[in-house]
Amino acid sequence: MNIQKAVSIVTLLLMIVPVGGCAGKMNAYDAVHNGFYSKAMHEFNKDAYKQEKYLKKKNKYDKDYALPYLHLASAGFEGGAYSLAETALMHALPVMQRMEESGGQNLFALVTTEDQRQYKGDPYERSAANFYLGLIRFYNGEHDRALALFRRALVSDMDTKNKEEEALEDYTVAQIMAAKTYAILGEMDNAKVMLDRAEEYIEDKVAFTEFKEHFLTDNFTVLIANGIGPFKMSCGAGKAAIKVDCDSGPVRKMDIYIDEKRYGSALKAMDVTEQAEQHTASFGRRSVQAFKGTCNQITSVAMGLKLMGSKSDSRSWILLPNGFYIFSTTIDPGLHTVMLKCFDKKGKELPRYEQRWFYIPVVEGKEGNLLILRTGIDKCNQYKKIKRQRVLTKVQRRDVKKWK
Amino acid sequence: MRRKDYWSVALLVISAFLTSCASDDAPMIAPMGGSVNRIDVDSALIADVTTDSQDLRAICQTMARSIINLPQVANAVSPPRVAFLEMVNRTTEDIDSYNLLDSIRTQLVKNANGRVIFVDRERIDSILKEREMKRAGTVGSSGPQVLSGVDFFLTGRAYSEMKAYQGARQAYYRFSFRLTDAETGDIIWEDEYEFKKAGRLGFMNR
Repeated sequence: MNIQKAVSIVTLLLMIVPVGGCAGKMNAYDAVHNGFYSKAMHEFNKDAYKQEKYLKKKNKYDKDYALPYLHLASAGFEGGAYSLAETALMHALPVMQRMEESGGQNLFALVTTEDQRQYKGDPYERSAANFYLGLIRFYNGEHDRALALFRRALVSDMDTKNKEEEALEDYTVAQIMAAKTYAILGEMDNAKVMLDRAEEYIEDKVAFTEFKEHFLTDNFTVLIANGIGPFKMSCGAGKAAIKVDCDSGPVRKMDIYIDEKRYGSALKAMDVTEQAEQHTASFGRRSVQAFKGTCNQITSVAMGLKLMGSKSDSRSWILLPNGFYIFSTTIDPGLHTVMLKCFDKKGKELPRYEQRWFYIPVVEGKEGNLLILRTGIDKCNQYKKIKRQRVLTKVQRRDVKKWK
Repeated sequence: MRRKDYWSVALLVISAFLTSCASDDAPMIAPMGGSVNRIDVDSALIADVTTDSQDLRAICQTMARSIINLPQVANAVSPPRVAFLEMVNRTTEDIDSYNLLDSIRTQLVKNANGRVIFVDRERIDSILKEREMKRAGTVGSSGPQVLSGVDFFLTGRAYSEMKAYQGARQAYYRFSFRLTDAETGDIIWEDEYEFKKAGRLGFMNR
């Protein structure tokens, strides 16, 4: 082999290795937001699989057990792999809803950092898990089970309170879907009660009044998730407090076109971040955290060391959307082309957010025809994605790195 | 370049490719880890405010006793025939209604001690098909018989209302059953079974 050939082979190898390396290292969270669903599902599944292996070794519930399953469920859900999302949620939900807890883990979390407790999610995360599983059941035509899960989402939401310390039943998107399910099951009275409850908390009451008139009898519903939802951050003295942030994205209005004809705008059904902000930890837990934070602050100033961990639990289901929008109409049975056009707060169209979905079935005699979408940049322009900037915020990226 | 060199280059390229793409291929969902123990059917390992097998057994035993004590059943010359039509699930639990109906019917059959005969209406298509085959001589038969008519229809409804506040949970359950005369449409019996459960999340999760 002469030197020229050897050099060309080495150059070739140097080119192959980084390309291959990069392909295997893409962040799963970015993959979801960029639409690389199969990649995201694979990555999250690896995390979930690691948890399973850990369980086998440790023979007890891991403190982070539910989280990778929630992320796997989101990736599956957005990639249209509903059965995978269902399985993942059925792994996560029993742990999140279980009343009994490990006293050891809780005690450890009490004296060290708060994230040593088992992750059960905050009320808005438990509500979302129930709601998503309910959507899958609804999609599969299992309406009684869907109803149970939508109602369960509302129960989880009862743990939240507003600034006036009032417990609210304002998980409106679950109320709207529960109303639809009641209508399909033939219980119109209950359906109307659910819609009335939702109306109390809906922002755009005028649009909702119009929506209410036809929603229960319509045969086609589009549910659209928008933006990157709430994620928790540690803040304050000794990072002992928690604050919620989000990235609502540029989309503020969505129009639905079916077979190239404009049918109307989607109604904003709920703000998930608002739900997250409503939850505050119990007074006792807040006091303990404040005490730990203050102690740490004092000791670090006086002695230059921190005596105990005081960081609050910032683990969150970061793939949740920021808000849900809903659109409903009656169309002829058959296959349709559904187009979503998005607009910013000034009413200017966002062409890169446009989505077009072909062959969407509307089955004759079925009231529960449901299409679930999520807004995102270049969803219909796959080839551009590689070049595109990543969408996670700096804080989310840091959290992702920490968890991984 | 000699043949040996080609092989070594190919090996290098393949190994580089494998190194870059290597990932621990996990099955889509791995089976649950941990240990497995056989436990009593009435024991509740996971404390929760939802229904468990113990509740279902108690409901069915109570309802079966109530049905057997009905004058129309207790004084009947031959055991009345009942078809269990449906079990409506309006609880806040993600349970399969068919499975719920199945387990309740099993418990009722077991507890009725032959005082009531349950007629299978779910398998009616298969029964009719089998009868046709018997009549046509395709399969053997022990002689023609009339399909059993139903004296009563049994229907059930499970309902629950759950409340939550600051990590506390309270669940109220109501299982109601109704026996309707298949001839007249009269409701001849209705009974319910209620129970309440309450629990609280641990301090660190409130």
